[in-house]
Amino acid sequence: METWHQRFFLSLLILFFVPVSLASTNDEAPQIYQPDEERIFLHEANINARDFELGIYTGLITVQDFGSDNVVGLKLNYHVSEYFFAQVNAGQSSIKETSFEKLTNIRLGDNDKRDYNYYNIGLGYNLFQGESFFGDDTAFNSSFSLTAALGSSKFLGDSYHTVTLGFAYKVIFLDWLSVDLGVNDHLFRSDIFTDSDALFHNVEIYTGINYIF
Amino acid sequence: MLSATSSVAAKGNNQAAYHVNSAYLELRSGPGRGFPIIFSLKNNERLSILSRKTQWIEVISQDDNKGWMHENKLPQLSLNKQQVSFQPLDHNAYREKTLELGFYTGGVSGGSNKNTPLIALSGAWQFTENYALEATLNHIVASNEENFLAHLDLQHTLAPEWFIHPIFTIGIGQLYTQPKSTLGDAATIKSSTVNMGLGFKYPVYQRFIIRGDYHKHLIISDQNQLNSVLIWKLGISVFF
Repeated sequence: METWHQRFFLSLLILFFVPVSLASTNDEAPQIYQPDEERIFLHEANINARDFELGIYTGLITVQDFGSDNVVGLKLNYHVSEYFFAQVNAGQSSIKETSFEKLTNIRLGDNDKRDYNYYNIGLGYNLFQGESFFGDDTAFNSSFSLTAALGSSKFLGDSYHTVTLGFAYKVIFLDWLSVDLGVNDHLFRSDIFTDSDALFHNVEIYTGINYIF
Repeated sequence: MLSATSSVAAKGNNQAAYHVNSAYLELRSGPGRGFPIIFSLKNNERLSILSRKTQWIEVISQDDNKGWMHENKLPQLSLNKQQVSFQPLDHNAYREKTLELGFYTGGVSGGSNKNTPLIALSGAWQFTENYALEATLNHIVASNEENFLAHLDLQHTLAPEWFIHPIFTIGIGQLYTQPKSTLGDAATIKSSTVNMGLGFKYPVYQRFIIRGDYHKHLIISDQNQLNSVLIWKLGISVFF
């Protein structure tokens, strides 16, 4: 009991006297030299920003079991930091005949349902940034990025919740122009050919041109 | 305090108004730490500011050399013999936001559907520090149907000065339901909805905000039946 009291009063002493002693040392500290000049505050909004990229891309997409076809799409990137960016994109392609359709002569879906459309919203990470050399004397800024996105894919009249993983290599040729080359894998589950859901991998390879603003 | 705007807008080396006030200033070839340092500016060398990308600032020197410096190096510059300071993005900038754009993923429970995945996009106009008007579009793909739920909410932010703060919403919307094509070509069903919800916002990094929402939507169908669904969402938004 006695030690409990001792501890209590000791704690009180420390609580009261430490701040006082700290304050007194502050008083004795030498005055920090404050330059007599005014500072100019520069605000972010006053500097013309180029954080957005709007692009169009084209390439090939393989829709599992439905062959490969051309894909075209639009993409918007917003760079939040040198590492992270948000990305929204949408693309359109179409599906070819499956072996099932060729063998049985049964056609899945009307012509207007044989489009393959998708959209994605996600995040990107610039893994490597640096210069790419074209010849001995010419170098352009470039980056290699990874992306992960969620979205939806629609074909044969049905939509599927889709996860898209990808990577891209981008070269910035001008202040306002970049060109990229990338691969995306669109993953979703579908029961088109099986009783239970099977995982579909739809791999896409594309090249695009982007306007930086 | 002088405004730096006029000199920022000025381009070209003959109008270079800033001076390097440190021993040297290194410039990189691009807006990131991964880009190589291409040259250094000497003390007292003049330069002007061209543009910005994320936290990097593009400058041009009096000798027409272009390069990028991080914004935290701005105090190494001076303008009219006054040191330049920079106000980085902080919680105050977040509190002064006027626009917020977000995307989310989550789940819907109600009726025959248990935790059906959803994707959502939102755009909000913050008209006071505490109140915002927010439009949200949800895309819900269930096994038997596809839904689009659009709603407009009044959002109340409680204690925006906290790093993580609660939000409360109340709103109205429209639900469009398209039964799956394998069940025949059924027409789209349109219903009105009212909703209320709560959530949180956490400004986590630069202009990114982490957001979570939990909403209850009451669906008034054509047959005047009342159904309710519960929607949870987790996502990221960007503020301007």
